[in-house]
Amino acid sequence: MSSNSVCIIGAGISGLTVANNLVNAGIEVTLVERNPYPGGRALFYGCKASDSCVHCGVCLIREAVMNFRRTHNIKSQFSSELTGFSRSNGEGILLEIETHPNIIDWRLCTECGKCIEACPENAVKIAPGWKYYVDSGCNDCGKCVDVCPEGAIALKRESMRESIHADCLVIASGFKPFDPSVNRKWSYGESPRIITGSDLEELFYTENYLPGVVKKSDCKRIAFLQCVGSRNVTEGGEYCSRVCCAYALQMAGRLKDEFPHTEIDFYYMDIQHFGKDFESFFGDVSRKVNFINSNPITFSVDRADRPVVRYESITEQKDKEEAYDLVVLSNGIAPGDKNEALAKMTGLSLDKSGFLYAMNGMGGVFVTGACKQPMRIEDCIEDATGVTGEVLSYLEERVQVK
Amino acid sequence: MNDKKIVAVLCDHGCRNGSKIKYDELKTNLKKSEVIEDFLLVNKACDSGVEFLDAYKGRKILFGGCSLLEERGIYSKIKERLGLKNGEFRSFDVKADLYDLYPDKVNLEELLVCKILSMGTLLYHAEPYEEERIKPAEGILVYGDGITALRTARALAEEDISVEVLETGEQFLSPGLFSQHFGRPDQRGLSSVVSADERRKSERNRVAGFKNVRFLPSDAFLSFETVEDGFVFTFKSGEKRKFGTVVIAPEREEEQSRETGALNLTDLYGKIVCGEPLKGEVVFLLDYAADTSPEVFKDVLLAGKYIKRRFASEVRILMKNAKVSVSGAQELYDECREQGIIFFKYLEDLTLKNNYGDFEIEGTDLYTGDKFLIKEPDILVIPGRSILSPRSKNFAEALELLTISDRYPQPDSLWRLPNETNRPGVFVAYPTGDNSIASLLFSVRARLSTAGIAVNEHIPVVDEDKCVYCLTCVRVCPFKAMTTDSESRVAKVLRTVCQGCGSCAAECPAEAIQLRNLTGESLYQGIRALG
Repeated sequence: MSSNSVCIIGAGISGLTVANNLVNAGIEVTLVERNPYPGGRALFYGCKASDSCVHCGVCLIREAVMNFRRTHNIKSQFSSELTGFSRSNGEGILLEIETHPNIIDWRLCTECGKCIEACPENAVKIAPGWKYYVDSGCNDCGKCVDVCPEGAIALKRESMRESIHADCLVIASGFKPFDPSVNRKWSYGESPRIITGSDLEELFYTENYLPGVVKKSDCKRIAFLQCVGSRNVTEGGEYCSRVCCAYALQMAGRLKDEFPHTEIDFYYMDIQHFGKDFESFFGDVSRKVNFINSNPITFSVDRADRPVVRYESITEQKDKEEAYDLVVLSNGIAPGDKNEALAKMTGLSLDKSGFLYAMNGMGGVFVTGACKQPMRIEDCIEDATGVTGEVLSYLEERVQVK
Repeated sequence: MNDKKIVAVLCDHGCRNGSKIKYDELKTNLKKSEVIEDFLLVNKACDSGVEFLDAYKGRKILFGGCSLLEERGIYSKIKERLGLKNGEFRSFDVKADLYDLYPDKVNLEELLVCKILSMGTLLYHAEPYEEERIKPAEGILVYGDGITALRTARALAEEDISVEVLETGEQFLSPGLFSQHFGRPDQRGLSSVVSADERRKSERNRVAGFKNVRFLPSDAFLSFETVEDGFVFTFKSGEKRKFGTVVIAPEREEEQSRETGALNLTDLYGKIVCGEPLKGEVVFLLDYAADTSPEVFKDVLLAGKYIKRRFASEVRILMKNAKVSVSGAQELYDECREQGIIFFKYLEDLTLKNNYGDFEIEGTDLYTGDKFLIKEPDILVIPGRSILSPRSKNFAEALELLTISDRYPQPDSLWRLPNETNRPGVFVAYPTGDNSIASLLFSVRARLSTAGIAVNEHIPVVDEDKCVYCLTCVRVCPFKAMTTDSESRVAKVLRTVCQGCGSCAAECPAEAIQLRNLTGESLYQGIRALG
């Protein structure tokens, strides 16, 4: 066994960056990912460039996935989770990994597309830059098995448990988008015209830009509501999620370009700075969007099934009601589901919001990316590069001690 | 010109299309060309071996297939088995380049003929070449005076890399630094106020303790030129030194307040460090001259909190937006409000009257819509924009780095890490993220430790007889890879820096520059082959 092996939890942008950098440095890497595809949450986000690039960074993820496909020497385990962690007496870390293999074996899949055509439930999905996988909704009819020319599909695959040895563990397990349905105030789920920022991201990815119920021709008014799940202890986290102002403004600018006749209102608390070009970007977008500094009080639905936002108008000193064709709740970044379990297993601590507290290098466990604090895609790449450097120094020191 | 003809192979992604392609028609069309010797249609090259190509040993191969071939390493197997050098093998992705791009309506055969003929002609004219790698010179120059420069130097020295630090001799109380000087927000003690200079000195002493760190006297640098494996600096003493890598840690300063009598943050820190009492009414006016950045907002909160506690002054903070996107800023903001610091959000109509240092601020409160008037505050602080110090700016300009106005040495780019610049080998140390020095270290180590920097396939080749020394190529190169040889009076390529973009070849008025394996003649032939 090679003396230098690193296990990475999470194949999002941070995990992929670390894996790629470490492999280039000649380190053995095992990548453990919960989904049946790499790329993480942001894989299904869409490009937000209007007339010029707005630096949302989504294309970097496609690039990282393509790069990962071309790299032969990363051991990868998809549909897997970390279930056990123990230290083996100064000899590194013993990890237990449980795999529930996907119905489609990605190694054999040639992307011929026959299973997509055959599936009556539309359960076969394609991950951008990657291959096919079977999502929820599969009813085990077996039609895809019959048509697959490669024999890559099997309905029943046995779960596996495996122990692996690693010198280092890098946790890059990412985040969870805040779910507004926990608070009735946001009325999320009560109307198909109220969607979250992450839903809109996925609509951008499919290049529809609007949900099916909203007709493109008569979409007159769109509202963006900021700080959903951020900066408010009772409704979400106390912290600022750092990404929502950026993605909401970028998407608002794109929507205005796509549907010039649409009016866009932007309800905000404070607009946060992002990136070095913020001022010029903000100058552009403020010509396309009406800014309203207010936090909406209530929601209702009018007779035409349009969401109505009630808010306190500061300029007119009274409560006002506005009806919209589409309301976008800019939901923030919430700590990942598994953070608590991971912290318990590895002995890391959580901060008061529930993010992993990074004590990098302590006993060979490193934390990077959005599981440690809210981060944009570019910040994740920078952070992951830094952590790679720390991992390499840690491994070098270990060799010297031996 | 070598006369090895091309064998074109197509794995037509039959798994998806069920081999609709008319093989015979395609083959006759392709065989009319002078460069294509044979055309093979294969199915599922990703599964079968590569032995079927054995008969074509000694020819150049053009292979079209899907991304699976690359994923399973088929292309490298072919190259290895047939002993093909660089410039003798090319591949293209049929799925991404043709099938996905063009819907079913178009004539697939025609597209394929075009693709194969154009790529085949280029391959036919290509010369085989050995891959070259050039190692950058040893030695790292760290430019800067501040804590970031010193911490970078220390981190490099700890990795056993020898470093030389070129100090600027400018000593600013740079605003970014001070956020740390008040201690962490939850610390009660006030004794943690240390002057920036003291911190810098102690860090400098630590760095000077390393054997592999040398400090160059400030103001010592005269001029520099780029060479293939690094940068040659000429110093005032006449000494010439070569560095393979340059790290610039730009010193920053805060713009002076335009209102006479108002302080900027740096002035305020100066007063705090000197122990001047800051009693009475202290007003911070943010977002006034320019948008306040989140880092500065946090500094203002820390300073306000300190003044409130230490002198029990009345602190008011006037702003348009609370910029709380830096870690810990939201908690600090809440804490400040609890402690009785008064925050105003004002509307656009704010006016500031300045009567020789007696100020009158009139505006409208955003939440209540009421007018407010602040008369003659004891201290008015208007934070300025943080800009590059003059010498850092000069240095960045001398290295021909891109800058955003006078604020940052490098614009945001998705294709580079924040610490990388448009000049390969020059890095910027910039304290943005928590891990920015670590990621800088990684980039520097990657530059030093790899087998060297690969030379691009399409580097320009200058025809010395045709070159008229007009320097057009030097001006247009986006990577600053063209220099001149003043003795022979011709343009020269720095092979490690060149990225093979071809700007120089396109712009050269004397047509003296050709790209390796992508000459004008071969491009012309490639277009002609399409008929």
